[in-house]
Amino acid sequence: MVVMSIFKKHFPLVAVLTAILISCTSKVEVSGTIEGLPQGMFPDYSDVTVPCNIAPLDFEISGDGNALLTITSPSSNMTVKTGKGTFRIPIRRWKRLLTDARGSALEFTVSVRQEGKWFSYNPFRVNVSEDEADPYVVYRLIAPGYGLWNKMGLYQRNITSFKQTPVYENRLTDYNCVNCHSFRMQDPGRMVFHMRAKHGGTVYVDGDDVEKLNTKTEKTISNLVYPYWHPEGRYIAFSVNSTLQAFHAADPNRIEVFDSASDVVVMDTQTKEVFSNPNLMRDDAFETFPTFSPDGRSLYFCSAPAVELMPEEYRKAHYNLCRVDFDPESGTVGSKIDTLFHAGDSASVSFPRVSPDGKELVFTKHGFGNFSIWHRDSDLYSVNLSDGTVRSMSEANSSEVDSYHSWSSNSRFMVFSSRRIDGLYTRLYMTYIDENGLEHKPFLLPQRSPKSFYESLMFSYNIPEFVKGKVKVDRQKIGKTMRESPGTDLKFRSSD
Amino acid sequence: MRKQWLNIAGGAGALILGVISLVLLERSQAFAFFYREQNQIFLLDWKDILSKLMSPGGFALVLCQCSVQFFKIPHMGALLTALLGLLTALLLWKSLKDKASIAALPLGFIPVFLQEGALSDTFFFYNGFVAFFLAALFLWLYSMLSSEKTNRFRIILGTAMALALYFIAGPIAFLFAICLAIIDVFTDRKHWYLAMIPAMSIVICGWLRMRLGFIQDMRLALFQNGYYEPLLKPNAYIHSSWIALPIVILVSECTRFIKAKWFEVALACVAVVVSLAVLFRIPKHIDKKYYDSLRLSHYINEEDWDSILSDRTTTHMNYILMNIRNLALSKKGLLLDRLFDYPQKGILSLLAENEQSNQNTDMTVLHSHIHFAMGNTAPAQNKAFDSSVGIHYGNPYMIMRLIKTNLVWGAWDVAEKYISMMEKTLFYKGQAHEFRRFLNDDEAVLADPELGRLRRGLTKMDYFSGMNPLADLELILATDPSDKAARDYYVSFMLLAKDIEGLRHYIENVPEAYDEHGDLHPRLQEVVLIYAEGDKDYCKAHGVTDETLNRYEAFRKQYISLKTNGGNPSSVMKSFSGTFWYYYMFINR
Repeated sequence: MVVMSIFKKHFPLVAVLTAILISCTSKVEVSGTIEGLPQGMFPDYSDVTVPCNIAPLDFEISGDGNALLTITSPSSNMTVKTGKGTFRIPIRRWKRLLTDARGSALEFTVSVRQEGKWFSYNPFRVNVSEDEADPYVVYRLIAPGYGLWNKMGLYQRNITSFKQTPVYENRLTDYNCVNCHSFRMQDPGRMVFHMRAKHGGTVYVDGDDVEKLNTKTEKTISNLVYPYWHPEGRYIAFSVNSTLQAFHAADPNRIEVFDSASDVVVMDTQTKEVFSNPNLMRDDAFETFPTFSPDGRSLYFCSAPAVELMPEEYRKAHYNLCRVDFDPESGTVGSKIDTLFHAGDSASVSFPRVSPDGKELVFTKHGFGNFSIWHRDSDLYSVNLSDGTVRSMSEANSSEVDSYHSWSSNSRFMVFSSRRIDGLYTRLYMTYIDENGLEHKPFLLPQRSPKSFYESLMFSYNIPEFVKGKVKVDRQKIGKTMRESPGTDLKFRSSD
Repeated sequence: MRKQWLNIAGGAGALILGVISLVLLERSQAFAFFYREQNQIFLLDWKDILSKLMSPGGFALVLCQCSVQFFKIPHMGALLTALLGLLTALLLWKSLKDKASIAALPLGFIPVFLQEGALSDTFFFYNGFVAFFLAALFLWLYSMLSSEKTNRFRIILGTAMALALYFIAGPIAFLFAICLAIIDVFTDRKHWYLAMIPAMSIVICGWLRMRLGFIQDMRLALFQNGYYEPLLKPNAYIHSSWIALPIVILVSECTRFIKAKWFEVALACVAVVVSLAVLFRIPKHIDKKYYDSLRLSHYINEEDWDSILSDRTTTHMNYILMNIRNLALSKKGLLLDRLFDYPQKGILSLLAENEQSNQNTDMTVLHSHIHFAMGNTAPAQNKAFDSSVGIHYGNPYMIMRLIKTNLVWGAWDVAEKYISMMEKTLFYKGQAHEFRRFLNDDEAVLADPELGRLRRGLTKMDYFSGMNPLADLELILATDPSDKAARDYYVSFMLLAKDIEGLRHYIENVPEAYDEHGDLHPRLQEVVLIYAEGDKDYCKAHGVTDETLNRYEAFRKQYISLKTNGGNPSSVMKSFSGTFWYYYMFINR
């Protein structure tokens, strides 16, 4: 009697709770099977390999009818219901399934209701790696643009959830340009990034300390540009570039960014000096995109014979992949330059990045020039550093731009930027690299309601960098330092 | 009875003031309202709305953007603004009238009219005006809820309302809290310091926002600067309404201590005079030159080319205005016919583009229009993109341009992305949806008059566009010689550059220099007479008519007479001011 009175009194609540319970546990009678993947499935997560700490792989299918998703792990399963085409997977239960399927796979089965009957699509697998990926990815969000901007910032995404938080936003420094963030070996506590235009300079963050660096020296052609930290943290290699941008009249690449001169230098963070070697500052060559090896003994970079007439002959710039010794004890750059990959007249190399285990080097290969982000033919290539073999990472590549990449600290995952969805807006993809160094089918960075999220996002993801923890910088302190501090002038240390 | 009469008289007075403000706003800011509509895109998308609502000031922003989208409709900007202003003033009147009696109504209008005047500066965001309305609403609610309540209740209520207002409307909450402090100090003078609690709460909130890196400094957290273009510093007038409101409240609180009837009447008279003075100064705050450009921009968006060509600015020697006029001539197909009917000064008259102008979104919008009219798709898209991302909340016309240019290029996915976005708007969804039929359909693009023309003009040979418009046009014409607009711009560039050699080459080598009847355009006939004056056979062989020859003879005679007798060319040779000859001889580039 009492139960009945409670039921009557709280009928709406009971009804809702019952509906939720049914929706979470419902089993349906399937009348038939539909071949292939669910219609309009976005993103395509079939047969991808995900880290065991990834956020729920929400996805959408076309149609507004009722649909059910059953995710089966080796020992349990869960069902998610949708009436609007979006499967929103509860995060806690997803985590349990991931733990359960670690080193194995999850099976996703989508059932749809058509004319009163339920039909199931063929199930698809999502492989769950034994390995985690670094939990945060830091990137810049910018309009994929041309000359102007307004809002811009560096953000970090916790890949184990959907949470994105700002690392720094340009609203604190009069909407200037912020770019080229870099961390020491995925360490969230040590980073550099640049600001251009108003309050220009380089932001150097070491734990709680923030310093503004004025990086143009009398011996270098520009401010410091593309950075890469030495693993021990004392040095940061940079390129210095005279860069121009132009707009194509009739080329699907839309924009061309090219250098008319560039060199590679190294900054000593202790002495605030910049040094190099004449072989990295040649007038007859463009050197750029420096990268240290994980042991800190090699400095990789890209180098092209200088092109006299820019922009007229911009297609003649072909960058090779080179290496030079680096001695961290004495802080000197060697003079003998090895060429690991000779690009020839039909290719060019940019963004070399060595895996933290030192086995692979991945770079971006494209037809010419160095700014692969605007080159539709850009693809990821891998060099096996033990035998020097070079191969296309075809499993990860697409017909659109596949470019800037960053390794997870355990060398098992790589995040990279790609324009494969619409050809213009860069999105982040992750690929699993197995113990043989082979990439697996990449997957799009998960989002809640991913289709509408990516469709409505008018910013590109730029320079994704894995980091091992949350970046906890004092944004106000950075803004104040850059606005008010005159900054520290770097000095150039001559090699002789 | 007296109270009822006062209410009726007050209501009637408010209505009259509201109507006057409507007229003045329409007369002085009509095109500023259109401009505001072009500086935002309000998406009817609950996720987008929710994300705005979740940030401080978000509700005011959503309310503002929702209102401003209607400014596309003529007169709606002034109407909604006058209405919101009237409501704000009525709320202030209701809040003040128990204290200030008959003076309350005109007093309430003073800060509102100052706000309306501030709107003439388009760098002052409209959400500041909406926030002001919300502050008035909260003041009225506070006066209702706190009446005859304990001091503790008043302070708690005031603090809670100030914090709530900070969340929904932003920095205006500080002004609200200051007003509460004035009211509560007079209510409980013994514990005056308690009246500071709401304001202190807002200061702490603002400080926290700054400290946590959400805003640059306290100006943006607590003052009118929070509703102003952050890269600029507002002038004193922009702040005046924020100063006026606490003064109005202070005055109304003080009147409680002076019971004399004469004072009540005198205060009311002063308040009426001040409010009317502020009201009738609303039109004075607009920058007239800037307003001219806003008016012409609106005509461009509406494709009202006749209004541009008959605008009072037609004689102005200003490159931006000349660019707009020549754009209008081009769109009407009259660029060559009437080029010299208007003042021209070198090639910048057609396109005044430089490094500096590329940093200004008003200019990039204009340049996008001009490149688009020339048939130069790439820089039209480049500038449209810059225009749409260079301002805080986007530009609907420029997004529509991005749809078109991406369709021209066959970048279907990108075009669809923008179409989907614009389909979420109230006023552009139909137009955006129409574009869906072009997706993945090259033939439909080619068949469309506007898109097809641009598609046919896409060059086979790639080059860096936008650096030299003449070179761009040459390549476009090499691809599609039938493009009249591109051809007219091309010839006009050479005419204004006085590039006689280039024009001669064009006349002698390009068949499209002649129309289907083999006639040469009068402007080009005039050019022939410049370089082949003495060779009549050549002139006739190249399309110069007897009429032009006779006119040239008349020009020559007048010119010789001018040289001999002296005088002002613009008066002596007035009848030839529309010719290339006049431009060639008398206008310095």
